[in-house]
Amino acid sequence: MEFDPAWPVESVRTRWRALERDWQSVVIGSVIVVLVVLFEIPIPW
Amino acid sequence: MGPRLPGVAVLCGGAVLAWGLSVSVGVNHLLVAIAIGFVLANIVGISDWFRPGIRTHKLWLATGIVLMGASVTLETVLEAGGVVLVVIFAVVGFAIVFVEFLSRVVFGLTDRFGSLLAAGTGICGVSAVVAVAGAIRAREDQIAYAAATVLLFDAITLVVYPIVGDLLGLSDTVFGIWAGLSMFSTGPVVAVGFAHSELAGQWATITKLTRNALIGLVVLVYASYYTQTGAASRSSARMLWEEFPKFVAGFLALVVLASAGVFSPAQQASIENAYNWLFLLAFVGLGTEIQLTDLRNTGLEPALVVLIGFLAVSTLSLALLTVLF
Repeated sequence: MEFDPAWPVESVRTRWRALERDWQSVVIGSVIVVLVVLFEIPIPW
Repeated sequence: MGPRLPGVAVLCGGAVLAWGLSVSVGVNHLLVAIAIGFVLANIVGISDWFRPGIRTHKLWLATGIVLMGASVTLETVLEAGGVVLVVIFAVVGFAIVFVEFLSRVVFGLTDRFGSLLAAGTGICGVSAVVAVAGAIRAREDQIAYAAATVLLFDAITLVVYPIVGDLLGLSDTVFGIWAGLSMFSTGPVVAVGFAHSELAGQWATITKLTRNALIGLVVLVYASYYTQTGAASRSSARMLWEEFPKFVAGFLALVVLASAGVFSPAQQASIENAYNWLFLLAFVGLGTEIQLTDLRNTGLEPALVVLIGFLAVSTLSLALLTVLF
């Protein structure tokens, strides 16, 4: 079986496109919160 | 993401420009962002190449609302005290019912547009418009008009409130709570409060944040109402869930986490900055939805509805506060 290096990316893309926009916003929001909380990433204003 | 990149880059550029202009000119940054979007769409013109990315603005709005949950805590509500809490519930309830009545019965606006104006007047301007818009699936142009109408009143109250406060000789407490109760967006409320005095600024901020905390409740009520009215024959719990805006779940989850003290002040500040940027991105996109031709068709009715609603709320809350304090 041949290994396709693009498959994880394509799999994520497919799952992302299948998500309702509301859930996409929850995912993006969660990622931002996790980045801020775990890595103390400061977001300036 | 490929085809969307150019448009998203335009939103980001517009957001940074809006931020820069608001800092240098001192105008509300959301208002500037909408103006930039408006100019792009109506004067400069938007090439089809940018449209897919610019259309992502709804995603940034919803994400901003989710993150806004981290700034709303149950403790904030309790800090304002029992009496102020009762006054807030009464005034917000009156504002929503009164503006709904004005919109639907007196001016004959559409139900959803009326609800956006009611939420904007009752709770906290643009944030409430945005949150309720997602919950009731309002059209993009309706969101843009309602947000622009609300922001217009932000600019007016920013000038008028300090003058009226001085003319009437209001105490610091009454002026602060009055501004927090009746003005629209948080920024102008805080600015006007602290311009009056330190104490007025503190009361204005606490009252406004408490009012903001009611967004979740109002969104839930509106979402349930429109889900039921829009699907009279579909009453199952599954349908209710399918129609329900899922970002509200994210918003409420963050309210719970913030109330549990999960976030440090620095983390909370970063999350707040993140949603401020997301709103800027979103409002540049929203501004592009305001078309001059449509505005002419809409007329002055939305502005009149908000003006009458605002005057009623402002007078009622001031009368209540003068009696209570």
